[in-house]
Amino acid sequence: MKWWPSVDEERLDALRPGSSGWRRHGLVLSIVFFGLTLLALAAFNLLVALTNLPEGMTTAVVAIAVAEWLIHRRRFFGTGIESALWIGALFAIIFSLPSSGRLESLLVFVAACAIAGFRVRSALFGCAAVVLVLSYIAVKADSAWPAMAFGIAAALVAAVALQREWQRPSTERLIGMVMIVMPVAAEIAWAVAGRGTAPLPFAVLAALLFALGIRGRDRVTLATGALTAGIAAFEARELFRFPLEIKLMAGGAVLIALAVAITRALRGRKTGFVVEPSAVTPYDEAMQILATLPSAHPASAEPATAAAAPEVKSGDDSSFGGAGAGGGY
Amino acid sequence: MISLEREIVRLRDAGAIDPPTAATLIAHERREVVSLYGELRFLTWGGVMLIVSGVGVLVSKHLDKIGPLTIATAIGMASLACYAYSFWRRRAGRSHLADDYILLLAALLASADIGYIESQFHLLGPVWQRHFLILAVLHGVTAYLFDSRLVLSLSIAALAAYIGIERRVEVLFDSGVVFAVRAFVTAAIVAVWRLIQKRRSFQPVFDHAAANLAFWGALSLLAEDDTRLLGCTVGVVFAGLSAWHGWRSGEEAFVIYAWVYGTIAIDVQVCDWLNDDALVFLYLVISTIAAIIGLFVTHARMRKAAA
Repeated sequence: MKWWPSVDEERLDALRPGSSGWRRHGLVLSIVFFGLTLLALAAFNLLVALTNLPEGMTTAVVAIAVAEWLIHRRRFFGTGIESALWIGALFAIIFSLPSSGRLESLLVFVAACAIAGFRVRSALFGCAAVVLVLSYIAVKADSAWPAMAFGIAAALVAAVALQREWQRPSTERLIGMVMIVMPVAAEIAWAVAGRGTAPLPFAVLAALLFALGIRGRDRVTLATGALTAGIAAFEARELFRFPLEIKLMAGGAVLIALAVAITRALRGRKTGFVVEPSAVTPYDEAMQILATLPSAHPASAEPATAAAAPEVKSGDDSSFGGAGAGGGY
Repeated sequence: MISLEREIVRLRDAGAIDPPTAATLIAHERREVVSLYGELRFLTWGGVMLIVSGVGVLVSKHLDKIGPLTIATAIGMASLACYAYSFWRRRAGRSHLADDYILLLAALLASADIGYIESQFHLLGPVWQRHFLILAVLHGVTAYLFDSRLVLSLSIAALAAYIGIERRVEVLFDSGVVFAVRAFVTAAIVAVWRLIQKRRSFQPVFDHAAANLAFWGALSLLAEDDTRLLGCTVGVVFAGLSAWHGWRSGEEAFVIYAWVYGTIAIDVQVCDWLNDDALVFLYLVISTIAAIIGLFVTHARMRKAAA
């Protein structure tokens, strides 16, 4: 009985998707199947709630049984269906428990994410477990520092761990996701606490990530370094007395200048870091198009027969944001 | 960091991949060659979006102090400078990964400037929405001149705004027939535009825009009792067309649209007919499982056909 793909099978699939015989889907399709399966599970849970059966436990037993049948008999692993069944099952049990209102209940969700993540080798669930631990620390501690320190430490440990060679692609995905997400989670925990600015920890982390990324020639670590540097810049915003619009435009100009400078520095190189055009996937472009559109035209548009011309409000409460884009005229 | 060099060597030795391809793949696995192309493009895009956001804040905060004419002129000059740079690069036959985004910045600044001028000076009077049409034409021409799908998407968005499509999720629930008609008209215009234009690289942008606009129109009809059955019928018809297009072109996204939007359209109508909670939940379980199986089977067949 195989509980999950072997190391060799996972590595073969990483090289040639679908070649190991285990059924898995791409990102978009997995998300669609995950959402649909959760919807079906929620409807089933509500249906059971109308009977005399214990809803959470019944849903969990059925969902886990179906998930295991799909994994063992149909060789589903990475389709989005079996992972939704597992996480849905465990959450159904938790939601059926009487609520104590204690903060420690967060740790039950940590356990659910960790168990489901371990069973279906999901980087997303594993990372969610680590984020929930940070959330628990954030609400439990009086200060925002412990949560921020945990987030930064977790990202750094993940970055260092990523330097060694891993056998399973799923393990590397988990470590990579923890490294990317934890600086953001740490920043959110800090911002929610609202205890002033703290650019230094993020700047130090960014520098370490850049160093590790350059040393290991790892794009994910470098991208996380850039993200963390952005967080440090965001945290440093109140240290400068320039108006917000100047900070935004100057930041944008710096980013473009940086991209141009790096491109010039790497131009002509054939080994190491290069700027040779690599394939930009349709998803990359689609994400950029979708993220650009909200900045393009006013969100609120009346039909062409409306009589009055739009007015732009002025002042701090104006909604004319995003270059004429976000504006409520 | 993972290295699949062992597997690549095995495949090369078995004759599954030729030695030059294997050598390139091994170089990537050893990180002898690491391209930062995608990351630098993203960095440039981020820079453009920050500048555009800064311009938006500048306009909103300093309108009284600077004066509308100065703001309009400054944004217009910045936009023209970006357009001029893009034209100069194109004529010189030189390219840089930042070029696409400088053009995008030019287009976004032009959008901001024209919208701002209209809001301040009311040049178009009661037909102020026509500034969207001007933007649609400007961005459309620019997109074809520079072969830019990003700018083309702005053109379609401006066209949709001119017709009155709002980009808020809530409109699906509160707009009903009016929104649906606008969405169908926009989808039809986009579909006709796609048919008469020759640029193959633009076709996916038109296809996705037309499909989503048409489906949003159908879903908005589901919001009102009087039009719910019509919305369900239209949604199912569109789902059929989308599935057929996806199957024919091998584009998975359209099959996903078909199953997801089609299931929503049918579910809303059937749940409206069923008055009993237990029946509604039972139906949702069955219909969602049917959608999962249907999508799964369609996807598997598409992959098989592609192989």
